[in-house]
Amino acid sequence: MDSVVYWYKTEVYFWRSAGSLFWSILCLPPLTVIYVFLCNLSLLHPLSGFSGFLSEVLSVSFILLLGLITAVLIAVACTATFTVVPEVAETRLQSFLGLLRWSRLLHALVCVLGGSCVAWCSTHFMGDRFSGLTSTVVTSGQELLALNESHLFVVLSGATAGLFHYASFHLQHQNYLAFPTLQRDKYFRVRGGMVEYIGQCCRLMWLQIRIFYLFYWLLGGTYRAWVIELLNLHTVWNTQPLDTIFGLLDISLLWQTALCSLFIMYTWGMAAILYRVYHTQHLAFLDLSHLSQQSASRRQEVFSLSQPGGHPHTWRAVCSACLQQVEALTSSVHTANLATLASVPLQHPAEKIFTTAGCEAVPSASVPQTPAKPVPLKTKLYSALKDKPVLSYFLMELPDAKSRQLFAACQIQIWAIEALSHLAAASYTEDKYGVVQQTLTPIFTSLVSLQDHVEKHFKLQPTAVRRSNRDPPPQPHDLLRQQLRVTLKTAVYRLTNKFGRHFGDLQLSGDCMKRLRPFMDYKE
Amino acid sequence: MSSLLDMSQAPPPADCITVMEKDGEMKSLPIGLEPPLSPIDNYPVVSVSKDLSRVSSQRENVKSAFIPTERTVWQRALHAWYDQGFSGLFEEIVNSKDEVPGSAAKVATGVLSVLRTVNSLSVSLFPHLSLSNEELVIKFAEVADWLNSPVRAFAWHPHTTKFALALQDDSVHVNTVGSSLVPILKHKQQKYVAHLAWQPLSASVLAVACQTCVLIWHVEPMSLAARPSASSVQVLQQPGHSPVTHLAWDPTGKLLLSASPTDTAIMAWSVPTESCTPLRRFGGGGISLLSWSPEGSKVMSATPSPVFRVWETQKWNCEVWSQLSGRCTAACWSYDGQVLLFSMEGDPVLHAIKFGTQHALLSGSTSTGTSDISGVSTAVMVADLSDVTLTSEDGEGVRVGGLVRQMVWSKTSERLAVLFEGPDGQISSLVAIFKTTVHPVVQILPSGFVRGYSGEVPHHIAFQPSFDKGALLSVVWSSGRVAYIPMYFVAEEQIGTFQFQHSSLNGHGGRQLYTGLT
Repeated sequence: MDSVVYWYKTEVYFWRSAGSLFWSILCLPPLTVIYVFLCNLSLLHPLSGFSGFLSEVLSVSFILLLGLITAVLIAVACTATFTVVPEVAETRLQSFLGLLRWSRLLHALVCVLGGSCVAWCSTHFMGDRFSGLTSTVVTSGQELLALNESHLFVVLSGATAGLFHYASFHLQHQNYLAFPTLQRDKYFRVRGGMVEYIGQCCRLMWLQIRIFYLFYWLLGGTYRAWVIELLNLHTVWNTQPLDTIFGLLDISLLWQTALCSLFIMYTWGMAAILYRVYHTQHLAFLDLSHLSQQSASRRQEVFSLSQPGGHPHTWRAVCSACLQQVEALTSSVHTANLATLASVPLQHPAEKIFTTAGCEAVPSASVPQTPAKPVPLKTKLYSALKDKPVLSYFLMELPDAKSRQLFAACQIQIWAIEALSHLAAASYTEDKYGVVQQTLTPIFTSLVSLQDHVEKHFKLQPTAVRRSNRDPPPQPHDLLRQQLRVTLKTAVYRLTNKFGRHFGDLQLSGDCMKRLRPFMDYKE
Repeated sequence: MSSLLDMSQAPPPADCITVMEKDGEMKSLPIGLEPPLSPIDNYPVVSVSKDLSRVSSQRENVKSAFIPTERTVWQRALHAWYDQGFSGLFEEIVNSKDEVPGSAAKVATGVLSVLRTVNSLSVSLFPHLSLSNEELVIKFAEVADWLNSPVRAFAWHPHTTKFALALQDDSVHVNTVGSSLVPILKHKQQKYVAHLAWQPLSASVLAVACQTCVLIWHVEPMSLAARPSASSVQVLQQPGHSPVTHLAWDPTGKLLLSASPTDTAIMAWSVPTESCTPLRRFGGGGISLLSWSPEGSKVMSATPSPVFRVWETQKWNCEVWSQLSGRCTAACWSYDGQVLLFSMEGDPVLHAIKFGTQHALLSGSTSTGTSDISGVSTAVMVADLSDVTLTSEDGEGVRVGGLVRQMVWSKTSERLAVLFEGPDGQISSLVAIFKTTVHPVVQILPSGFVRGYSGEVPHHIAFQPSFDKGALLSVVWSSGRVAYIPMYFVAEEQIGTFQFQHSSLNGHGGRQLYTGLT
């Protein structure tokens, strides 16, 4: 197993990461050119705006700034961490606390600094009003060095954009590598992903702009005073200060700030999309599941006998690897089910007898109660806080978080089940030497037992809350367990469809046969 | 080339109905002598009466029962805007052109067309984009005469004797053999039902194509509920993807494709996770027809323009078939996915494309070229179905043939049923049945016709996938009657196994006889 991890780290991981980074860097110059064009867009003077755009793009400083933006992109991409197992938080508080984890703080820092850095670069594209932190103002014949508040505003907004990118990256599970349903070419996946991301990015930008404007309106004055103090600048009151409502009602400022945020979020998000696309191609179990469905010639290799000796080593290895996964999941679901059953508060048996017998005269208080166990202080405090209205929002356990945690890593099992059922079904016509026949019984038994356990688990869960249209759509990985459930059902149907007439020859246990019966009649 | 239908046997006389195929011939019986409604072992007797299929008026829902209906067009438009956004608003205005000033109607038509064009990201303006949702469904739904047909969609379950049908009141009824319980599915988003599809390798999952979404019902076969709760329904929705008129399940039951004539993307849904992957190719203006090959390696998608595509399902690349004489109106795959049969608008001819074996496909798919899915560059004309006048058994002239409205191929690809539309847009009252072979070459021979009661016109035809004594054709007639026409024959793939069993039995018997004699 270690050697596989080592092989993956050296041979696959590095090249895929490098490939995705290479393409993000390659996409950056065209995006920057588009950005500069939009920056210089002017409705009243379209020609002068265009000439400004050309002179900007063709200058040497453009290349230097592009280099800096690229460096920031590389830093952000390199500090981001991705995961294949979705993180399931039990409470809202936990998911927010996840943002402050040590391992992620470096990424957060890079995002904030990188955001302000890119925003600083962009102030150079925006024209004279925004470039430079200070400007010389001539007042009553005196040249004074004054603060350029617009510049400060844009840079601060860039930093917030970086922070928002970081938060959405983790809270909206952009760090989760979801494996695609269809194995399309990279080009089409990237194209689809990037077009879709524009909309997401605009929504995120809109949220960030609103919050940032509110923040600046409340606290902008303090910051300005602090910077003026720090740089020993003069306060000049001939321009409208930006922390007032009139100051903020500036269309040009809004346009530049929004565009800059969009640029930051989009370029970084694009790097994440490329990373996800590169890293979700052809892995062992995924590939097995695909070959079992789609390639007859590669299935032949699985069903072949190894020489000398004529042993079906390939099939045995494949089958045992898959069954191992299935059985591991079965046992963990079983354990979870037992835990759920144990935690259900059972009515006291004595009490029950009295009520059913109708002896209402016997007061239930007379029934000896088991003394309550002392509750630890932490739990007490936790349960007390849980009842407070605002805190309960954060501390309340999210619906079926436990169940989602249990099935968070079941992607591998889904592939294993698909591969097993497809291979077994294909063996009906393609297996020349009968290598699969010996293992049909364990395959049936373990699939049916997992199916049974999973169905039991879903029955033990409280019924799902009805989703209204206003709720955000569920994250795809939240529904991974649903996919497991459906995959299992389909897999059992696939096998009963193929082998239904030959069940007598399979030596299945009576219990297993009983569970297969509804599948035979299409009644499950 | 003269029409293939000239060679067919005489159509049954007007006072007969077709009941079955036996000994290679279509059998008809005079009305009055026909067997009870369902000649097959306790198949459900379905006859949708007109009052059951109450015509639901435009955009009505529960609210309209309480609000006086004399609302002005602007009130309704406001309501539509609240319900479905801007496109709904303009559509409402276009739908009630007569009540608004002419200029306003013109503006609304224009804006609606622009909205749709932007939605489908198409480069040129396609004429069908200016149609309203209802007109789109009428034009592209599988059922002929969708607006007036009492049954608006029909689908057999792939594994058991069970089918679902959608009625004019937007409800879906599920009929099962040997069960008098008919679950009725209703949902507030279930409007303009254009297509139904059962999930393969599952007993309960039914996908319903609606105006704004795809609904996924779980109709539990063991449940005794006559009205399954709408809370368990999954709603699959994607902006710009409406009205949904065609659905296709992956034969392994893993993916569901949905298509809309206004959206250039096919949506590939992973139903349990409710996530979708758009498969977008520009050009064509939308998707008007979807057909997944039975063995799962290819998908055909037609557009409202004279262009269709064939996708391979490994990497989802596609090849484009263009230079057609009109849009593709009907298409079906042979049992092994190696032959695609299709017809075009304005051309009463069937064409076939022969695809390589799956092995060749695999070796070709690694080189990224999109044109090596089929390996051929032209489609072959296989049958001329132009309309002819035949003399029926009672000496009356009957006009049959014309443009193909719907075409279905039985599971073993030995029978082909075709529903025609005459040049005047009228649906032909006879369904033509053909005997077909796929290998070594595609052969189509006329076999006979299916006739209903006088005055009945076929609206939808389908073969039951799970019938194992040959093929069973179901015909939905304009009267709301569902007829079953069994065709008894031994499928070619079974002949091999029969011969084997027969010879081994003979050998065994002979030996016994020999030992008996000694």
